[in-house]
Amino acid sequence: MPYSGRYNSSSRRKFITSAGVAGVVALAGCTGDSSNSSDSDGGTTGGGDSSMEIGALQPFTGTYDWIAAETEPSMNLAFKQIENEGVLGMNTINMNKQDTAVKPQQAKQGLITLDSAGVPAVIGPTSSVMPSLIEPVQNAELPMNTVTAGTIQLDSVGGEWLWRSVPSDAVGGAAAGLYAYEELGHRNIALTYKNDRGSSSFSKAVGAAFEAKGGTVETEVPLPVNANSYRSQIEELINADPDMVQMTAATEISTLFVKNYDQLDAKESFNLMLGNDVLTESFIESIGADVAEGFIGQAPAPGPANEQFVQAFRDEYDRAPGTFAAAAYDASNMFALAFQHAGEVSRDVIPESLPAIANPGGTKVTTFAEGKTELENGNEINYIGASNPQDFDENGNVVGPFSVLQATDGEWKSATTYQADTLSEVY
Amino acid sequence: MGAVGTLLNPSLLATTAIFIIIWGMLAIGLNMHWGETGLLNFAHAAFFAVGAYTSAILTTPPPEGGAILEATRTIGFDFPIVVGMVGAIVVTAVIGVAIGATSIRLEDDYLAIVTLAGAEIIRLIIINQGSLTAGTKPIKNIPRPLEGTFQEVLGLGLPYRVYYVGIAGIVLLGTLLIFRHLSNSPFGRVLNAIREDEEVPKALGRDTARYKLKSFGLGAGVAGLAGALFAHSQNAIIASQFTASLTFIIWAAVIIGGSGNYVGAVVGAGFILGLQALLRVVPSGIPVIGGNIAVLRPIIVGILLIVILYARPQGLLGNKQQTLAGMKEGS
Repeated sequence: MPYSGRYNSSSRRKFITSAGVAGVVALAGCTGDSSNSSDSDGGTTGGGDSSMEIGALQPFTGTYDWIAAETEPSMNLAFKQIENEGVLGMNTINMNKQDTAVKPQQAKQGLITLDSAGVPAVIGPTSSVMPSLIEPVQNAELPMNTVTAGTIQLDSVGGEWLWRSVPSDAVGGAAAGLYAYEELGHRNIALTYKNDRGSSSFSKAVGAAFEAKGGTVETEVPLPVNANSYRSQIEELINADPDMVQMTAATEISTLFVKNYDQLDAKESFNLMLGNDVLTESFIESIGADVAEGFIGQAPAPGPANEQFVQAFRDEYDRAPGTFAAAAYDASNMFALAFQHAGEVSRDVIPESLPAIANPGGTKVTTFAEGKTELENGNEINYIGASNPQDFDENGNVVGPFSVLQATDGEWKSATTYQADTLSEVY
Repeated sequence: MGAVGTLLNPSLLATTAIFIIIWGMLAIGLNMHWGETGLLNFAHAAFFAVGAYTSAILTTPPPEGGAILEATRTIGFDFPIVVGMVGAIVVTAVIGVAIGATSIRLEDDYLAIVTLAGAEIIRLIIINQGSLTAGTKPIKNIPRPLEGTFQEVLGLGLPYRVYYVGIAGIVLLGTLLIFRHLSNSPFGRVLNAIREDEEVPKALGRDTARYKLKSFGLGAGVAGLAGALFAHSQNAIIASQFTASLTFIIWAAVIIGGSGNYVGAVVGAGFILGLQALLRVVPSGIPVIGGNIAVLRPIIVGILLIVILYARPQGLLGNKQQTLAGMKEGS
């Protein structure tokens, strides 16, 4: 008689089937396999082909899938406008979509797939995976412009094959740190952040800027993922007695943190300065306007061509563009203008032509059509972005003004705007 | 370049092959636990991480200076790569035995729970012990074996990862031979007996707990070696690469390849990764799913694997007689 406490062969088979199904469900739900939505007919080197293919290495699945939901329509809008004008005789732009699934290895495999497909340029992904792509991008000599990665780990590594159309966290951190020290008169703050690279990067940038002005960071409290409560972390912060706490975390963690913050009446001890992820009105709605009242945040000041972009986006999709959409639009336009500038669609022309069309020194243009006309007339151009001015420094970082926001009557309202040269003195 | 051209690009082929080899190694380790011995292990990704971090720490010096905002790792050794790999096997095997020793005498469910807890402890240690692991930041500049030498000697102009396929392939082949030998040895037969009914080898005077611990240590050690191979195939590793979902993918590889069959475990890993690589380059001009292919693709993979499981419950190379042993006719 089989021992009843053991797995006999029958239950073993049941287990195999169950575990197999669990495994494939994990595969379906967790691996976030990447994809290629284009027909990939080549067309990546210009010349005789009538189409070209641009890589989109974005989080189409996973924790940050909402980002791709914002950047993809924006890229499509730009591609549509570019196709109407044509780039060097090409009137079709295919998007080769590769999913990062917010996982470094998936992102690397996506990048290698794009490299193997021969795309001339890639719109790049988030801070969660970007640092893992620095070396592969440089080795492949495949131009990438990330439209979401603010991580400070990119601050000094770009400029040759890597650029970003969003400011470094160091810039946003500088704005927040400056505001806390100079405008609010705080002299000691505490940092708390989701215990991952992107979140800690931003919080530490705020702390560095604050300390550069002469303030003190009393303590740092990492927030574990998937916690049921952040009461102990909040109590630790209360005990540190800071004037203000800077918190960077994704929406779910921030919502739970603020709920616990409210339950503990921690507002009597410190105000909160938040990271970029939660600077939305829906976040204020989720936590309650009365709780959010007075919270501080920061965001890149909209670019000179923002209104024009927002209108075009509304006309196309009948809704307002979300976070990072403008940067994706800018990055798409700039790659196309760089090819137009060089007279060739290839990877090799980007390092010289991208800064040439983006940085000050030529006729200011805000769309691909304007830029193409100027280039065809033999003029140099300076692309002015929808997300920010899109002027690159030698390390491929955009520099531009940053706004500090404050939650007031259920809305995020601009408190002040720091110009790029002011911020560059701090970070 | 068309989809086929992309798929046959040496760089992409080599990358896929490296992952098939590394996942195949992981599947071999898990097959030792489950396929051979019937031990439920849900900490395989954690063992993989321990191996990767051990080898990375042993073979890289602590970073000098660094940006003020970077996490500072202060422990590193700059030993040769072979030391890193041996260290990865030893450390992971010891940790595997330590985790197994707490519950291996109990019912299988207890071991499963302990491995889950052990995996979480390992994950938290990696994230929080920044001085050793760089925390949530990457460990960078991990050396690659014979990097540059191949290109200089052979001069074929191929990317390094093509040569790494050879290195990793030799390690996989060696591992496969050793584990197949173990499987056919008296040691393997005792493990199989434990898997089928532990009371039988016990009645014959075998110290089954000792055998199970050896099995657990061996399987964990192979996962550690896979981790070391992974670390040295990359320039950098980071904690977020070692998520629990990897454990379940390896489970799927073992079961789809054929539980109890080492070659099957490797084939299972190859099947899953090959399918994923294939689906990366499939054109999207398919009606209905068109622009949503990026989101639907994982579901397509899942459905295909479920179909295989139902068509061949013993897996691609599994032993049907073994898998279905004990089932009554018609049940």
